[in-house]
Amino acid sequence: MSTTLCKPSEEAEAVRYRRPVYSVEENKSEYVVAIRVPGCTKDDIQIDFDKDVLSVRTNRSTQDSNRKSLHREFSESNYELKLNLNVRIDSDKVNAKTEDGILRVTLPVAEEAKAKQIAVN
Amino acid sequence: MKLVKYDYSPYRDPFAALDRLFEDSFFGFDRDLLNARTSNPYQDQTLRVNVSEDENAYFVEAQLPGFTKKDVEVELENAVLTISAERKQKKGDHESVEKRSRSITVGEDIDSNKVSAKIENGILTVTLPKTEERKPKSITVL
Repeated sequence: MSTTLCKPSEEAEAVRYRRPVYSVEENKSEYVVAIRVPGCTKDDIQIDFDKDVLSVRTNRSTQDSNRKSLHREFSESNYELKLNLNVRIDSDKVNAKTEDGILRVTLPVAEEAKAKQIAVN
Repeated sequence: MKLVKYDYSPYRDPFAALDRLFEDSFFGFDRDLLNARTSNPYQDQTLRVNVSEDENAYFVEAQLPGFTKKDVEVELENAVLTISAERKQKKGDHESVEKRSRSITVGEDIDSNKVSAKIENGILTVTLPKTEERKPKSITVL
């Protein structure tokens, strides 16, 4: 896992958003950010990629229910995550999918940022 | 409906409760200092539950992102509801196991034959129907 790739953005977050738990996997050609967004479907998730900042935000509609809450350990608030990327990403090839409450965003490293082998003459 | 305390085992993070308290008070707050913790999803091993009710049933919801139907077991015995979840993950050539479980005491007023559970988008919902005698009834005045 790279510690230099992702630093939390300095921007203040709105209070009603919760920072999700996430992990980053790295291989030669791409980074995969796995973000835990339990309860969110793909329609609830908005992903923006602006320059070097990846922002993920969920917009879940609050369910109308006549259930009375007895005990609460987690809130159904929305999630927001902003990651500053210090590696050039090929923004056209960024893709994302959700499965079982985990959002996986694949960030391919841009050609010019990939490590190159230099032949010794 | 009664609830028992978090079941801690020595393998769990003793500060999880404190972290959770902190997180719950300042949620949304960007915590640089705690990023080492939040960026590792395998450290938060506590299975969080919400409990609610309506006229007909109790509902226990648990956050289990990444888990599917086959990874989760739900058991009701002597008014104790136990949720156990375990999944294997392969990362390259090494495999890791993520385990979570939680037991809560539920009331005796549950129709144990009709308990059902479903998992959707990483949220497990266990529905515990109330027994007939506990449901509100309207009584006609003669």
